[in-house]
Amino acid sequence: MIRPLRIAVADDEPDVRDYFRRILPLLGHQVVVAAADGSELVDSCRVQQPDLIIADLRMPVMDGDTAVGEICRDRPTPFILVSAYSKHASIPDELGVGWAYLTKPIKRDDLELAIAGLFGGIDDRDHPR
Amino acid sequence: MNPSELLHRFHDVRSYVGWTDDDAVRVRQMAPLVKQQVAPLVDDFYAEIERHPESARAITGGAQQIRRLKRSLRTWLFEALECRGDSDFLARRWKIGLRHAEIGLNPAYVAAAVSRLRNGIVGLLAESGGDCTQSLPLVVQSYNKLLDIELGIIQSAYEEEYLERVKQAEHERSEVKFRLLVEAAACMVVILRTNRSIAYLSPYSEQFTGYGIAEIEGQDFVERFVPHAAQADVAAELDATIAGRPTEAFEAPLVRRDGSQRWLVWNTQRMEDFDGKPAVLAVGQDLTERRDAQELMLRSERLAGIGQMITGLAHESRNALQRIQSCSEMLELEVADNVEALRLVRRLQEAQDNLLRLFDEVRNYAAPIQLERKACRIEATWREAWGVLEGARRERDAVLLEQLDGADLSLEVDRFRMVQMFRNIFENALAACRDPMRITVRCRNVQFQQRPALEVRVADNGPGLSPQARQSVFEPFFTTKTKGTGLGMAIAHRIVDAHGGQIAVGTDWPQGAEFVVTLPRTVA
Repeated sequence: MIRPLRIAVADDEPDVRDYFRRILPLLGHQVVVAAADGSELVDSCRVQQPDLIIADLRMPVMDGDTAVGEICRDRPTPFILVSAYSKHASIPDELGVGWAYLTKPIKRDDLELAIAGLFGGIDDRDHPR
Repeated sequence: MNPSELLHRFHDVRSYVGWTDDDAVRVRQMAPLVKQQVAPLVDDFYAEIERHPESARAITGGAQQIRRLKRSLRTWLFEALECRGDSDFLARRWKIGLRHAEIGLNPAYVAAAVSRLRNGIVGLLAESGGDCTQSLPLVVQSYNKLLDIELGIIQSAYEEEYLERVKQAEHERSEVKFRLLVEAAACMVVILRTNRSIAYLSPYSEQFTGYGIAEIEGQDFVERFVPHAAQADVAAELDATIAGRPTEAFEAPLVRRDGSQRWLVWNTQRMEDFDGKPAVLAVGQDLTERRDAQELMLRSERLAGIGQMITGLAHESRNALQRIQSCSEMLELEVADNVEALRLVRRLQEAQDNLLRLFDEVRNYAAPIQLERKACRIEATWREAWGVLEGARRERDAVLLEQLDGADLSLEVDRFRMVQMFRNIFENALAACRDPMRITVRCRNVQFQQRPALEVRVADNGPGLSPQARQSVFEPFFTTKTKGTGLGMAIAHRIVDAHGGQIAVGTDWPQGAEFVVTLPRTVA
């Protein structure tokens, strides 16, 4: 059983942000940020310091891979990038965090598995896989 | 020249020079005198020959030959003095002419030699002036006519033989040139009789086709080499050439001994004489690689076009699908108590899954295939594919049968792609066949493009493929089903192509459809 996580989500589609807000709590987690672009995600994460980031790869203002790169330079945070094949993710090797890559459309099961893949087997310790 | 033609010519020449019976009388009358002097005349004749290097060259047998020749000349003169005109006489004259051509004596020397004899005889007649009962000029005239007629026949024979020898030598030189050209040519050179039977194959043709001329001479070229579908067209072109219309740049397939098919571009034309009969000369250049490259380029361009389109659609479509997915999951939560509403939401999600599958299939078809080849047991891949389809087979009476016949089933392939290929073939069969459904997989070791390969035949017991389906089954978006993209077999074709192999519709499975996959065992 994974401990409850504080999760930051980012997607330029309002429906998708609503979806994350609805489904992630059903998996036992809390959505602390729901950003509409990469820049908003970076600013909000600086304040909220989430346990996990779930971000769309391609967004206005700043793409998801750029945003998580910036966030992790200050505070390494596991992340899941969600892609519609619009571009390849550009993730530096030296980030030093676990991360996952999902392709749209993602379902609840996909999220659960990906989160378990990063945090599975950990109860209260702060060590993602 | 035949005897009656020779006799006709002899009498024609006699008539031409004005020979009469009186001439014969005059010649015979002086014959005893001339005969007495024949020996010195003959000696003088050959003495003169020996003084001229070009004429002496014809005498290669030394003194013995000269003695024989002198005897022949004496006989010739004695016979001439008899003024005969029968066929045997003429045949001997003809032989003398032929003999001069055989030894290569220049005809100028034949005329000069007869002229020397003429001078000798006329000299004799002039000295004997008091022995003639006829006027000397008339006698001399008759002897001149006699010698002219003899010379005419001899020269006639000489020329015919000489010309024949020149023609033969020219023909032989031409033959040698032809053979050198044909044997050096890196293209097929074939000669066919007017009934399309094979009369000649150049060395390159033998090597290219895998057949020696000894084993296929006399066989019909079209039946031996041309695939069935192209036979009518090729036969029509050959028949047109036989009728006198040459062909240029006619492209046609050709099946070699090892079963492989090549494409050649042919030029054909009628020959009036090959071993004495008319024939067709066909010269073919292999353009298989060029065709394959063109086809590949076209296909790549087409795929690149599809790929670009798909990439363009990808982003928007998947975002839209994500919104549908998200909303349908949230709706599910909203109507958790409403069974009918839940059912509708699930149907919505199934339709979305179908759309996604369609999308992925098109994307898979268009994307370049990068293989990861490793040593693999091929039966593991089709068994895995069969296992993946367990859900689709759940309520079916479908059985997979294997006939492996001792074939070596190890080869270097991309395992994932092989599973994908077999899955597509099996799905095709599942869609086409009614229960009880049987799929039979047969394997055997073969050679493919001169390399060891494995042939895998997958056959079902369904209704089989229509003629149109046989032609189009590997074309993208071709389908006979109401559902599906029609890309499954096109993807299978691309996978086999990427492995350097071949997939084709089988021709000898008695009932149902059969696909024949041939895979080289290792990378070329």
